[in-house]
Amino acid sequence: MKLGVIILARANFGRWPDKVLFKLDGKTVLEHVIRKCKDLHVDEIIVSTTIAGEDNIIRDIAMKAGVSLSFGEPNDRCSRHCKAIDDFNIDYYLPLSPNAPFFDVEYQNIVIDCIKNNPGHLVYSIAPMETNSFLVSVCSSAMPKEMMSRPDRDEEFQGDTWVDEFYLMDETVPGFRNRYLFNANIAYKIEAYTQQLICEHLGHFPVDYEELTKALLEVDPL
Amino acid sequence: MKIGVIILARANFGRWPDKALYKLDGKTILEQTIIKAKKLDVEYVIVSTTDSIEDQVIRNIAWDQGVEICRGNPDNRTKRYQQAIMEYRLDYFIPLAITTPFFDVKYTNKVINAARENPGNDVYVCGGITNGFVQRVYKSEVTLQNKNPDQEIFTDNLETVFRLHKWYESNLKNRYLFNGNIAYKIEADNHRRICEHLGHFPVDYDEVVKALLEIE
Repeated sequence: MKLGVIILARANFGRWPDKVLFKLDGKTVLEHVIRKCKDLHVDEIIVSTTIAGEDNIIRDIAMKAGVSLSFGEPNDRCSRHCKAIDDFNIDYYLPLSPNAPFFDVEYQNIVIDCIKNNPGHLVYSIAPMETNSFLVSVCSSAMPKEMMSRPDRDEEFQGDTWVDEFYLMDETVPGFRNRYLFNANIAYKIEAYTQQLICEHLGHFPVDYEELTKALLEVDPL
Repeated sequence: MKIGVIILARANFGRWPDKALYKLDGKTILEQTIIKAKKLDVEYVIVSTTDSIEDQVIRNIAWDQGVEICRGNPDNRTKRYQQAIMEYRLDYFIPLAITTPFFDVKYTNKVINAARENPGNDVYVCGGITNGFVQRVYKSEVTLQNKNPDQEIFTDNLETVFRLHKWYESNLKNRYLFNGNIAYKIEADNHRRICEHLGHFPVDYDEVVKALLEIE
């Protein structure tokens, strides 16, 4: 069984063009994510990008870090996942986002190790609880491939993750509950600070989603 | 079909005792959440709390807002959901967290209406990219049959999921992908604060938690 991490990364793309190049402690978030991936129990770390000139910087970061590269469709995330899966014959993969550089390596490895002892499911998660951006589910390669066969598929969407999901409950993962329930409250304190900023900026609680989005743009801290 | 919102709320509980009473724009997040929940196309808005004295403040808020109050097991969230479901005979319910007071009423109502128009599925969700902005609608029967010993987990044995995809809602993708990046800018600012506080990138999860506590 071959497991891989697939990191989709493009430069100069979307509403925040330099997102993956945003620096934390002197390194880009992409570099931090790649560096942490090297501590995961996987066979391959793949940065999936494109052959476009603007993505040269992504390819340079990946090559410098000594990880694998896969090139695919610029505007189709689902097909890029499939391409990386095919390029490296991956059975299961972690769709890691550069947006979550603080992910939890120790517990992520518990999820990965679980697959080796309980193969055959489509998705492995640590529990149906809010673990926010600290843990990602590990997915079977069959999932995005099945999505690719759908005529009305969404290029952002990799699969119906709810069906056939294998959960590691807290009796199998000692300490899990306290770890994440604790975190959820702490993390919300930070989020609440942002919510407070938004209310102060608007002068009232946002009346709807449109107003919230407008405020998020206006209070843009970066 | 009867659909209800169930808001679990306790005072003086957990690692952040006054979480439900944290104020945004002069109102507690519980009040803000209830006010928005009343705009949803549901039969009931239910605040699930306990009989204890410390939760009097929660009951008072619910009472002032004119929503239903259900009192249940103080230490078991799944049982509190089950009790509220049974008391109000709900077919489907929305477990609304007070930590997402900015949830999107318009699109949550689309999910609710999808449940009414396509009954029978275990859960109704709005795409896979909506973070805490669009709430999910769960089939009560699944939660009532939940035998999981973990008192936090009420969604065991979900088998069928009904998703509103972009092929149902052409605006969905732009609405949430747009938000996803903007929201990460805010999150990235918090990440930066944590790195600055530590003086380095956190070495592990425990250090992240420690830093979060310290810069609180």
